[in-house]
Amino acid sequence: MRTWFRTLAVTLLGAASGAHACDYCLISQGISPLQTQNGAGIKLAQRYTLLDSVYAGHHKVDNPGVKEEYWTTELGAFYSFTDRFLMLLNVPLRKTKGNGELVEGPDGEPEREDSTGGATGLGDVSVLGRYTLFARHTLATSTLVAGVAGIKFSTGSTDQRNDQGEFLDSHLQLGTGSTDMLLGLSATHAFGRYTLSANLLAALPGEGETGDTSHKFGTSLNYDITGKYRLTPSVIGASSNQWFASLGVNGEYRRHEQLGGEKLDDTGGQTIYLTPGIQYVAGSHWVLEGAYQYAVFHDLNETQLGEDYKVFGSVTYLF
Amino acid sequence: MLRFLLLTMLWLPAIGPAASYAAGFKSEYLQQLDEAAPDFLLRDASGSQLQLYKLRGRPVILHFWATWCKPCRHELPALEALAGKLADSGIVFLLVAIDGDTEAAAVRRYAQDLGVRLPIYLASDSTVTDRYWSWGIPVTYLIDRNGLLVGRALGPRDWDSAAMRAVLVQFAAQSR
Repeated sequence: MRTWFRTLAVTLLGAASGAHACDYCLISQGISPLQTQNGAGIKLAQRYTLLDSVYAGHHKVDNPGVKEEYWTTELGAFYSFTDRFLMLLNVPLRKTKGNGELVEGPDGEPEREDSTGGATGLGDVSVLGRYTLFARHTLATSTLVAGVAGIKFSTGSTDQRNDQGEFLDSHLQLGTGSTDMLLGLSATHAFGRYTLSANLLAALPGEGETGDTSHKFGTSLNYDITGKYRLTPSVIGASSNQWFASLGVNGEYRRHEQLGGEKLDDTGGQTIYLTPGIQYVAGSHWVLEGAYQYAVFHDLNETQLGEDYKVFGSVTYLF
Repeated sequence: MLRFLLLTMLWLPAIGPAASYAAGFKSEYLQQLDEAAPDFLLRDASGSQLQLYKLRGRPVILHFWATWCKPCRHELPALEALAGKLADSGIVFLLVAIDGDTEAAAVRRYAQDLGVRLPIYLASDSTVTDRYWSWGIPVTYLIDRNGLLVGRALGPRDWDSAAMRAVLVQFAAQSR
């Protein structure tokens, strides 16, 4: 349930990352995304995101030494009000760290500008509702299609400063400063030891502020197709514990951002990931998950810092 | 893209099930099914055989459990109490343990220690397909008088609650 947008100062070429440290991804992508079973539960998740590569369009170019890192701890809770309607709450705690910013050099090549900074604290809280639009069950299969709608609130601060006393770029702030609409679809088809899921989640950002400047992140679309296979047991019967392996293709498309009403040309684009993962279900209450989200394709507008990978793990307790 | 999402969300309810077998299923999170129950043969402790298709004409609650399943430990006594209270409904209760490694006598003794007097059957001593519990246990099916699977409860339920009893009474009546 989250997304951490980024922006650049107008004068910078690609101040790191239109490259989407996608923080809604844990609900729209991954091993057990939006199609949470009915019931109630709490989830503690940890994610690390590294941006250490520079892309011009879909070409990787030399990185002059710019790097960004994000650590996000998420406290989530979900509750089914009816057999079709479920609500999710996500409270993120973020730590951001930026080392250098990309600027355009005299020859047009990206150069590093000294700037170190980061922030730690509460991010933007989001609330989502999921409504099952279609359900069909047989002895051997289960198919669900659900609609998702939600709001991301501007609870994270946007006035954090770097070591030189200047406002951090908006993507390094704890929040976006805007109230955003979330809208999506989720489909799941389970048969035997296999589960296939597909998810779409659009984020429609409102106007926010970074420091003392108005800023608007670009509309984004997160998408995901993931297959999951129960490794063991082959037939339920000897134990209540289960191991699953998953492989997903997911990504994010993001439109340009605006700063002070002006479009930022070197923001937005698309990143696609390959995501292997593993899940352990211990009894009927505990679910442990881990996944590695490796960026395999970038198509970023102009020149930007792009994501290399994300690693995340979570523990869920089902009541 | 946004327009596509909105249109799709508006359209999807139209392809959902046109009719609900039992509205009460929703309140108890019972999945609706509509297919013939695969037949099987069960044996009780005395060796007597029971074939599912011979129960046509009576509603059946088919429950799969295991001795290692903690939630099942709470469900079995509730099912026993439910069976007593719905004795006039004509519902047949089939409690099938899927333990693979535990001796049949030990499984039945386990159930007896929980106060269960209903017959206990073992999957290992039957022809029941593991497709019934392929997604885990406890899992419970409702089979109507025509031998159709009409409901499924994945995971534990409070079987002896007033709300669930009302749903099952409705199920027994509607499946006539």
